[in-house]
Amino acid sequence: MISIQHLHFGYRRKKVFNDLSLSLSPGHIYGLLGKNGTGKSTLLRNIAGLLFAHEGRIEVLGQEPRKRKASFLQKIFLVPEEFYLPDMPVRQYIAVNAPFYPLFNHQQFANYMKEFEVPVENSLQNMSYGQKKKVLISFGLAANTAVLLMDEPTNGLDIMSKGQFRKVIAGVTDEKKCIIISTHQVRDLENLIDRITIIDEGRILFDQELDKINATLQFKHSSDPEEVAEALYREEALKGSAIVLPNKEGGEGKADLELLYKSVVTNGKAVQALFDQPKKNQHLS
Amino acid sequence: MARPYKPSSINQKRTNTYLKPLIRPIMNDSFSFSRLGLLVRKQWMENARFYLISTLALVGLHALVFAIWMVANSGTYSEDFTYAVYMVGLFLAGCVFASNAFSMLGNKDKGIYWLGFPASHLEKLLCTIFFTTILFILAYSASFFLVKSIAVPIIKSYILSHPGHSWQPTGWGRKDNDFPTIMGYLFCTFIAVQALYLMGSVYFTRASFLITTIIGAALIFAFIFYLDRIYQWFLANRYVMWDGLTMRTSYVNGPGTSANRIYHVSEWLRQSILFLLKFGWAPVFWTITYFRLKEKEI
Repeated sequence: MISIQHLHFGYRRKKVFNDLSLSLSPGHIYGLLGKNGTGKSTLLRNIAGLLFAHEGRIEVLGQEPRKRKASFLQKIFLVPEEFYLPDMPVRQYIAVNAPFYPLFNHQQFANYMKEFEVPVENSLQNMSYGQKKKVLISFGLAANTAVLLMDEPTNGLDIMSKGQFRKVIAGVTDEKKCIIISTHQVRDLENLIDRITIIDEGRILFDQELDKINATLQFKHSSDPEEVAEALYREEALKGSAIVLPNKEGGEGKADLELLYKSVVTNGKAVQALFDQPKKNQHLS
Repeated sequence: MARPYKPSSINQKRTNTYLKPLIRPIMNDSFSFSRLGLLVRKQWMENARFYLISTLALVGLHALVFAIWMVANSGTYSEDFTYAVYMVGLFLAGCVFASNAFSMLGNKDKGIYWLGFPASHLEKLLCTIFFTTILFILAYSASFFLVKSIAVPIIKSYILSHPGHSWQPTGWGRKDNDFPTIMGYLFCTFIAVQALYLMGSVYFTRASFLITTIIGAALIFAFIFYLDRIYQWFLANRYVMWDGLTMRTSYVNGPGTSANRIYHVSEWLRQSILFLLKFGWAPVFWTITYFRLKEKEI
């Protein structure tokens, strides 16, 4: 569905991607994690056809995004971190924008707006940033595009809204849809994504499915000094230490995305080595 | 009181009407009349307030100009002058308006909204030309003629009560009057110049009007200088007529007598060149704008 081959991209003074390759398939919610300025938004805009690769090839839904063909744009929706919505009533916004998305579903939109507790009768002009973002997310979901890109979607949402967001997103996955959520607030994506891609310094630092992460790594709190010493990553917590260990016990635990992210960023080679030995890991599980 | 949102009835029905042509033949990725229609509708709905306020501002400006003219003029009120005002205003307002046509591309949020929208670049450009050129000319002309239709009777009644003042109509139908021809040329020039500013608004996202004016003026001066050099190098001692397509040379054909030799291009070539000069600039600038839009990144 999305194939990125040897992507090179940079702005005038800054090289962002250097030979980045990535392949994303439908039926998944991908979490794109990384520090500020590592190129998460840039990657999404490359996929959406808003930025053009300097070298390499990007193919989305069998098309070249940079051509921005109408048939391509109606199958992809980007929820940017900073966005623009015209000053008009929500009803009017839907009336003029929805016809461009052939699979737009009004009932779905109404349901999402209800879930987000945003009154449809309101005008966008009078809405807060968070409310506008919810309208945009609802629109993006109701558009039923094959690819949905979300750049820091939980920024500007309050605690309750973040919960609503998780609930809504969890309900929209289907086998034909590919959702990519870029964020640095990893906790917002817990229980939501099924594959994690970590970008750092313009390259893919880590790219694994959540099931495999759970089978390979163990996330726990421990007060055992020996266990803490063996950890791939450790940080002090209220009771002992929060640690990331190789999963030697075999059972599948629950990944702590924040710990995973920190362990990959600080001890990437050791973490990656565990995933590069599939046979060895298999007998462990 | 606001109407409740009823997706199953009102909006679904409305959408289905618009979706029909979209779902059936997305035959052409580059152009679809139904998509263009939807785009024009969307553009209008999103900016209607701005367009209406701008039109009112034009009415106000015209009223102000007419009021000053009525008060400051002494003697003959020439209708030609009103059309000169019309043209000056058309050029100024039209170019300022056009230079803001793609201002959204200078803003990341608006640029993403606009470029990422499911319509082709051609449709987006045609929609913009429709609003900045066609609709603008209609709104501008309507505001001008509205004010003129009110001002002229006032002036005429003022003249009746003030001897020594007179009203001089333009006389559009008069055979010896070049004014309609000049207005026609000016109108063609306006379309071309406005297309240049439209192109400038894609190239320069900040201070587009000023930068386009400076670069446009520099290019025109360079072109005139170039023509002058060509003339000096190749056509010295020859007289090129004002239309640039006819040339006269003098030669001595006997003792104490000289004659002129006239050179001119064939009529079809002359007409073709004039046609291109009158109508060719705008399509050239629009085409460049189209390709610039295609390569625009946000």
